[in-house]
Amino acid sequence: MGATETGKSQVSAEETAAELPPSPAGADGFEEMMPAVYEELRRLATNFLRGERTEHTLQGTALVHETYLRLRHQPKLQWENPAHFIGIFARVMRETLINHAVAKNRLKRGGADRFRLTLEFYEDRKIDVRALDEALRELETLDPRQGQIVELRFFAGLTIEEIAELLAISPATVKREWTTAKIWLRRELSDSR
Amino acid sequence: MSKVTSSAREKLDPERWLRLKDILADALEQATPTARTALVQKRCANDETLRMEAAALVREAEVFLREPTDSFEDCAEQATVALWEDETARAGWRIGAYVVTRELGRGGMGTVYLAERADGQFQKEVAIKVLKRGTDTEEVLRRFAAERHILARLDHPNIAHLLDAGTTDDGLPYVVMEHVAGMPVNRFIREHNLSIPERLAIFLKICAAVEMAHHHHVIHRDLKPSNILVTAEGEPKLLDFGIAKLLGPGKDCLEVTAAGEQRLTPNCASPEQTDGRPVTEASDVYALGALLYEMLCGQKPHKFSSAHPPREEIVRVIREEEPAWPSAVAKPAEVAKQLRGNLDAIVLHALRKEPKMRYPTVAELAADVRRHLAHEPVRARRGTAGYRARSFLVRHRRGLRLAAGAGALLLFALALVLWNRNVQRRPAEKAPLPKSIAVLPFDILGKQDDTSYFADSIQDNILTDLAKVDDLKVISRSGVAVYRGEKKSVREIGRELGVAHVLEGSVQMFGDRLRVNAQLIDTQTDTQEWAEQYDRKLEDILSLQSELAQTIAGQLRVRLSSREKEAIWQRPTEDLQAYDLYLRARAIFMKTGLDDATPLWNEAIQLLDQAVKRDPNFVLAWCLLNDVHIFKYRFGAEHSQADLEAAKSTAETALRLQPDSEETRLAMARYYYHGLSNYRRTLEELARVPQGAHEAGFYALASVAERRLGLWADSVRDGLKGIELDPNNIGMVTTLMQTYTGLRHFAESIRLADATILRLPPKNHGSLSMLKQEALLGEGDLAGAEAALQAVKSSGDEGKLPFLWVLYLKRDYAAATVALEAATEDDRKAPLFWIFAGSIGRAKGDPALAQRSFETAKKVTEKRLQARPNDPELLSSLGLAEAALGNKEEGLNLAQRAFDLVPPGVDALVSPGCGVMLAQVKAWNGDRDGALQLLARLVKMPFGPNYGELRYSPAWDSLRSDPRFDQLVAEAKVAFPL
Repeated sequence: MGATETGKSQVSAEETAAELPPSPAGADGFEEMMPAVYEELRRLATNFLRGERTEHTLQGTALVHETYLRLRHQPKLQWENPAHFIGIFARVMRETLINHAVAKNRLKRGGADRFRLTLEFYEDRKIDVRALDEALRELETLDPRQGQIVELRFFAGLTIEEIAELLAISPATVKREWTTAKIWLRRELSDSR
Repeated sequence: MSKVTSSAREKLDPERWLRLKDILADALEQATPTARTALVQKRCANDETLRMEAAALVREAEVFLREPTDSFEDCAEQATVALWEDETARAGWRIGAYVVTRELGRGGMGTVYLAERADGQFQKEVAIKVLKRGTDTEEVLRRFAAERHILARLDHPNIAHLLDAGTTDDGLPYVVMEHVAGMPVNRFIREHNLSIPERLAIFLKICAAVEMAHHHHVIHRDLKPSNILVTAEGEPKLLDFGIAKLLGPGKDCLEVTAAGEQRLTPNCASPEQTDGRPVTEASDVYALGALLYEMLCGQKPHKFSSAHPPREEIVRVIREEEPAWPSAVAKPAEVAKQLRGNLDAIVLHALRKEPKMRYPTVAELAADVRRHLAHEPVRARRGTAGYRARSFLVRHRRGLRLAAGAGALLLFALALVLWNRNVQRRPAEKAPLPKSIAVLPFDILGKQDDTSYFADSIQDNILTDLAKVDDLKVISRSGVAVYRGEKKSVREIGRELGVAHVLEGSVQMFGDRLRVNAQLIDTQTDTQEWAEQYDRKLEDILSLQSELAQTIAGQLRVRLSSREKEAIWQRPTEDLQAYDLYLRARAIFMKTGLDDATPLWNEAIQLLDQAVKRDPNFVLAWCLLNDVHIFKYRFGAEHSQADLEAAKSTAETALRLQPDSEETRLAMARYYYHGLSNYRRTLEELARVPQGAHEAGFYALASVAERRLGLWADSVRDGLKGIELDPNNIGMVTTLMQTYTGLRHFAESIRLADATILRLPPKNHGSLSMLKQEALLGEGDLAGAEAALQAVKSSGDEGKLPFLWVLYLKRDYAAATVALEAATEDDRKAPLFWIFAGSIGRAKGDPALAQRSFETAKKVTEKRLQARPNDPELLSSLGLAEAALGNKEEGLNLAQRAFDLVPPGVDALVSPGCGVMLAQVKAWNGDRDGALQLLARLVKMPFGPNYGELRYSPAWDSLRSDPRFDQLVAEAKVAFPL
């Protein structure tokens, strides 16, 4: 599975997972810097999704790249393809949301309102996003690619088709993974109540 | 958390999960649960653990798929939309005279922004809703121009004011509204954990706003929690008033999906909105009902199979499915308790499917909520005298010194219910109607063999056919059955039944031929108006019946509508053999009553099964099959789930074959009544019966269902109507007598009994005297009651239990002991017999008798409870026995559980009885205050303890020294208003 089965443009989930340590909330200074990094990442990810890979975007990446690496104590990070990049963005969205859920109203400016809206949305649907995050981490240990699909779908809001294209697998496969993951997660969540 | 639980299951490793996931995904592609199970079986053939895990996941998935919304999917699609938005791009965006500060949120119609006046003229912040692309801009603006002055006039503190509208530079319509900082009302309630009265206070403000808009002829059309924000001060503000209409006809309660298509908002659309009927103020009443539902119990009124159910499903659910009572879904129990009764009734009244059945105005809805808050009787439950009394009690609770009262009486009311007989008899005399007829049983000529049921059916079918004619009063089958073999004059019969004509006849069968004679007689003059002889082949029996019915209608100069003609000529089946099977089954079923007759019922079922196998479209056979199964379920010893399910599926089949007939709706209604004890659904089914003439059975069922719901006046009215159609139906007469007695209209009950006794032969007097005795006891006339019981005895009916009861009240323990010893085997099977015996032992100071009897009571009751573990009456009996045996807590718990199972709002007939038993347990446990307080409540309810019981029963001796008890006794004399 994983890298062997998918095309070369795909960054395997194992790789991503290795590069992005499962994040406990609140690495030093990370939260304060996050809004700016987030904004930049968001813009870049949008462009990647739209297929606009201009010089300008690449310049932008440098800033984010650097900041991000520094903040996360990562020695090196390569993103020559959209999948990887969007994967990182999804991870950042997820982390930020979780951080935000941990300390409500901590982020007062910048992206604060967006996150508040998103968290309210979860809350209205009775989804405990922190428990979900924890369950998802468990799923990632069982099946990293499936975990990544959930992250892309749930936390980054990508469509089945977008994910299929990014990971270079068929939409039917993505759908299967997403559906079974939902059931697994749901059971984890209801069991843990 | 999750770690613990996953280790509790078989530890999953990646390889195992991969296999499980594959099986799960494949299973989910199967269309049916059976196919899924089969697939799981096949794929896990050699690994039982794997199979169990996979099966568990599939089950989880099935539950998941049935849920109304897939919240994961919702989140994936919508939650992070805002995270992707380029916020800076919108900030500073100029819309008309305003500049956008930031985004506030997005909904089905578009995106809402916070904005300020660009010219800085006012500091006031506004909300601008920019509609999605795809809406018909020009049309929206045109409508807006036409309506803006009306909308702008909606100046109310609880309505977000509409300020302006226009088109953005890129051509999107927008509206500018007062900005409300707040959160949706459902979230506000949750986060502030508001009490029920606080929620109602907010709801009343919402009503006031909607009411004001209605005065200006503006209908909101899209009332839902997300359109109602509550400010930090707790003020609700309604958004989007009238906006739905601006968007165009038929767009209300529509959501625009990401794909741009429109769909109904499943939870706010009223039935009329789903099928395109005009939207009126009543639609807002409905939406307010749905809103109140959610505000009170945190759930939507309807459940759907998925987050985005297909339109057909929404339409079906909204139009057909009844929401559960708010109290049934509310948590915790404390909240549920507050909703039970009034609030349930108010919400469901607002949610009635038919606009005309709802509160006519929002003002009326609000008024009822206010009545509830003031502890006054609410309109939604109008017509229930007992309810009014209860409400009065609560209102004056502090002022009232608690009076106290009765206990074992409940037992007696119950005993009488159980001992009631379903025999035939006839009541009051009426002036003959101009167009009325009794079709007497036809004489069977020739040999009376086992084919007589076939001949009998001719009379029956003519009668049934004629009953389909609206302008004709036709005495029902059981009403005329008593005249079989009775040599009364036609004149006499006409007077007793209140009819102008009778049809008499005879049937003779020879081989495959049939000869029928019939004559129509005027009861006033005793003259023959018409006579005819028919010689037909046996197989023509069905058309012969229709022909006869139509001829008679013609003779009575009744004009038949084409619908009536069609009904008369409709053949129940074309298969004569199936028809024969049906007739035989019916003859068997008619022989049975409310006593267990399982062998006969099984025989009938077997015949009917064959009948519907021959003709699967034989509606009447399906209906009868339902009746037999449901009687077997309710009154049979087996009480098996299989019969309940069979009743359901047969009624459904009948209904599917013929959705608009009285027979099929009655079948479904009987299923709800006897099978599910769901009295509301019973009435709703009956309400769907087409207008026009009804069978006596229709009124009989309506009357008993209304009684369970505490709709006393309705119950009496329908009971009287049923008796008018079927004056000799003892079952209906005794039911009405019982209702009168429960309402303490003792004289009415006795009058009805006497009038009926006068007209019927002695063999039918037993159950009437029994019920008469009950009324006399209620009045406190012990001697009269005893005399009535003597009459029961002389009619050949033993009536042991009521006898014991009267002797107990008279404290004639010597006679009671004799009666106990004379009890038959059948008597000794009844839990109440042993409870009575124990009570007598207690009262006369015979602890050995008491001990022995209560132990037996316990044993007998426990045995019955095996088949019916939630039967409130059995649980109450067991509670009494336990308490009497000194197991105080056990007894109290059981009796309390029984009472909780049937609160008055759930079953107004049985509830007070269970309450009295609970009071009895309390009294026996030495909790005098508890018993007195409970009795004080119960005495305000119809079917609660009555005067005779309170006055005489030794069961309450421990309370008699308390002045509160005297007050109770006095109160128990007062009749409930009708």
